[in-house]
Amino acid sequence: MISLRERSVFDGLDRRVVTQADLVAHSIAVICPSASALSTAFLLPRVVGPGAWVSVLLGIALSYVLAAAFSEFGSRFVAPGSLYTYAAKGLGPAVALVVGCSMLLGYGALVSYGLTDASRQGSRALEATTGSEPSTLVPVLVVLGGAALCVAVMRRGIRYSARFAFATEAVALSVLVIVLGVVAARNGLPGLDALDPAGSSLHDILVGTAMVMTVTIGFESSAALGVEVVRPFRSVPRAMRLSVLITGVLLMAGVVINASLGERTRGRWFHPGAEISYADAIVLVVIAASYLALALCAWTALTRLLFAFARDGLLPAALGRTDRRTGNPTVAVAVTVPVVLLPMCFSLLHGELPGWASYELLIYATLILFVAYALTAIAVVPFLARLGELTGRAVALAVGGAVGITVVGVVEVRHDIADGQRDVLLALALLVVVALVWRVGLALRPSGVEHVGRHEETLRGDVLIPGDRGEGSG
Amino acid sequence: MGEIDGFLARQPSAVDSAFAVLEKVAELGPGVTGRELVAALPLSKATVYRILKHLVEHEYLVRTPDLTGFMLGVRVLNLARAGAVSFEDRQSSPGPQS
Repeated sequence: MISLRERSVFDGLDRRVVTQADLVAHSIAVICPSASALSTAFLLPRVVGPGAWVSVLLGIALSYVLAAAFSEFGSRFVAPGSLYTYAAKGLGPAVALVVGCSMLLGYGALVSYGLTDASRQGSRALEATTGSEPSTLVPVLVVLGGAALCVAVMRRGIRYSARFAFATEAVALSVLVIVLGVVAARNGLPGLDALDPAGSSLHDILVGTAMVMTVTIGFESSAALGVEVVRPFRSVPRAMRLSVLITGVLLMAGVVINASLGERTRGRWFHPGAEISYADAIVLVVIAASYLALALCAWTALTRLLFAFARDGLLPAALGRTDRRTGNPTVAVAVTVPVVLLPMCFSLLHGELPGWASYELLIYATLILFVAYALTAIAVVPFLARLGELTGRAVALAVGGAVGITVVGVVEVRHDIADGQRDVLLALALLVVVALVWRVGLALRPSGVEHVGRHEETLRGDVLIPGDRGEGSG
Repeated sequence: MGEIDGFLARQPSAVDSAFAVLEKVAELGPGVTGRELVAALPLSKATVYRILKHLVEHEYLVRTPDLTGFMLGVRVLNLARAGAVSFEDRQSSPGPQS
């Protein structure tokens, strides 16, 4: 006899309302390709050399393999804890907590980075219209205003915030295509020698691959909305894979077009070298809006993770409360406001620009997320073996993804250590210790780790039960 | 491999195979596992898993709470209901052929 619940353990969220298009936009917003296709795509050929396009190809292929591996979970169950729940299903509570802590740090860093970089681009836009650098107060006000806007949008519920992300990304990607088109028309496309991979060493190409991976980080955040999505078993895997592919196309276009450029003035595409350029100011405002969408979507994923932790009994139950009308996890949103603003306060107290600490934090968080990705990819194998659904393709995706991201992570760590950032590994070790202490603490409670990594089970209303006709609610 | 309830499962038809899987889940009852379906159907393991995945994506099938088994989803019931209602409407309405 199969026992089915009447109500979900994640009851309270606005179920089955986010469309697939909005979910894809959510994933794309976290990757923020409009900014990376104009910045990372310009940097890559200068770091890697003519083989930069190979780095894009490898980085996108690796992200796609990881997205396909995570889809093995996403096509079987949904959970607002996303990778944390995936890891729990395959490798147990201790690894799940390591992955969960990595995600808390990673999503928190992404929100903070999105807000401060929106302010940086906003200040540049102002500079492009006045010709003079705005005071330090302007970026601070933009960060605070951006945070207030994100909270206001989230308070209106996931239907509204997902549509907001979709609209922002639609405008941002359209503007990106126009900018790349103008740059290509003005400078022409590079000759084949500028794209000859023989001109780059394997090490340089791998460093470039790591740069591309840092761009695509967060593509899986759409999985956190699984409970709130229409047809989640179809939409979540598609959103992860599509967002990576769309980013790949834009990044490749950016790298190829930028390869023919020499030096350029930062923030000027239409009028290079001009002090005042209204057209470039508009592009900078759109990029700032895109960073705000990044902050909004990463913040949404962060609140869903806290919500899942609370419902699993890992954090106080208050964090699992939702607004009755909108389904928004209000307490989780409120608690995270000071946390995401903390890096900016830290930067200002140290006399640095508002975005300094969040950028540094993101470097560490990205490497730690690489480890979370590797662990979650490996978790596919024991999970599918337990279900009796393990296939050769799934093993290849899991092992390929885990090995690939580990290689990229090692290259990045060595690169960081060579640059004097020796504490990257220390930060990772600290995070593992925190997660393991948390695991031991949970084991001492009467309920233990029983509820770690719960998913949204099939409800009585979702199923046709023999002899129970009329129960299904559709 | 052979005929199942009128379907030629070896036919290169995804629709036939999908209906064969749906009917087998209905026949074997809630909680039937992927392995049991592979053993019961004259289809390859890869085909059965691919169809199961597709039917779950579209919610014609749902997974049991422990994720190991399958049950008919409410979309199947909705389909039957819609068919029954439209049949009854057709019978009761005074159309040109009645």
